[in-house]
Amino acid sequence: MRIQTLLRVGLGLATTLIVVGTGIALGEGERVPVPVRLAGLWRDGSIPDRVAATGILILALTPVAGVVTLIWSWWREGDRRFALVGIVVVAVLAVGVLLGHA
Amino acid sequence: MNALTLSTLLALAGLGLGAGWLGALVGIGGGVIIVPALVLGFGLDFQVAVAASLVAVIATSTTAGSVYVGRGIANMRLALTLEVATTVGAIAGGLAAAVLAEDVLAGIFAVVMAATAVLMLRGAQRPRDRTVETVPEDATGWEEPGTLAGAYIDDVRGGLVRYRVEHLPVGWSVSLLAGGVSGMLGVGGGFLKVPAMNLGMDVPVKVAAATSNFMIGVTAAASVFIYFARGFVEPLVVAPLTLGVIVGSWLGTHSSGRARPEILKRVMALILAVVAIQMGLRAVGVTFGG
Repeated sequence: MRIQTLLRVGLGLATTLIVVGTGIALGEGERVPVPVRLAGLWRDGSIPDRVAATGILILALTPVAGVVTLIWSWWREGDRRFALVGIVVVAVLAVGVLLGHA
Repeated sequence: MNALTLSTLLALAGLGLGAGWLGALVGIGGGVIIVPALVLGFGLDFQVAVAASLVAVIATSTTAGSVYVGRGIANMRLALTLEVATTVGAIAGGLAAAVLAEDVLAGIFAVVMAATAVLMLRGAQRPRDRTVETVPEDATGWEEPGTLAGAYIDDVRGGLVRYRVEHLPVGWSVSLLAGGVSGMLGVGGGFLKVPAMNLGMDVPVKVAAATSNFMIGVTAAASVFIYFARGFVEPLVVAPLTLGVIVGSWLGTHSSGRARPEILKRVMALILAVVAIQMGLRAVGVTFGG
């Protein structure tokens, strides 16, 4: 998959969920915004919060998926040097996720 | 923040629209506008505003990236090379933000903005002449595999412009700093990376802006997971803001080909100067509105 296609798919999916979550929230009337934690994605808040939060998570994962796509593409082209650079970036991102939960 | 009403949702979407449009034009994520607006105008806590801004930055990056990458303007090899330093900085910044006081964060924000405004103005006064080659109308830019060089189509000057990246250590140093600032303050860091690439690494400003646009999404992702995990993401604040950003970014990317880099830099410098003053006042205890 080309990277621009992946970015569009991720963006489209995330936007759809965010619109649905906002729409449901609007239909339910005024509300005080509440935080949703990554670990409590399907427990924290109400249904609109959770739907919008899922869209936000997909949006956050889209650039990471873009990096993975680049790594794959460069590896297949034989550009191993830059594929390895991409692998280092993904490894650092993984450390970030782990530290976030620490 | 009080209860969300239709007018609040529309105001958040409007803020996102403006920030996304400008962000896509000058290669930043719009966080330099969003964070102060959410803190000063909507009365959000700094960390909640930073988390919302980071998501908006990812939205700007993804929307603009899907256009710029296709046109061959962004240099993805340069982007990931610099991201090695930027993501490390972003994680460190995200962790630091959780323990620093709000007025300290506001003060750091003000200093960074003021310095960037000066950098932008200095850059705007020194445009570099490059050779323009004639190419077929449907041509796109490219990267040279295994190297940090490439070419892009400049719509304003009407032809192909080749470039080669210089002084990589300069880029890594600034990228590490930009990542730290991004993770700590919720901004893309493009306002540091674009001048560094353009002035320090000899990358054409449009390539620098497009490359930065992709980078800021990856950088923001590195720290947004920390904010998400720690309960600073409020989905119904982030949602309208993000939707506005997506539309604004799309509009910005579709008008960037006709924009003149010197004018863009001056507009950006003016906005940064205003924001620096506002955040500086907040750091010393002077607040406006919410």
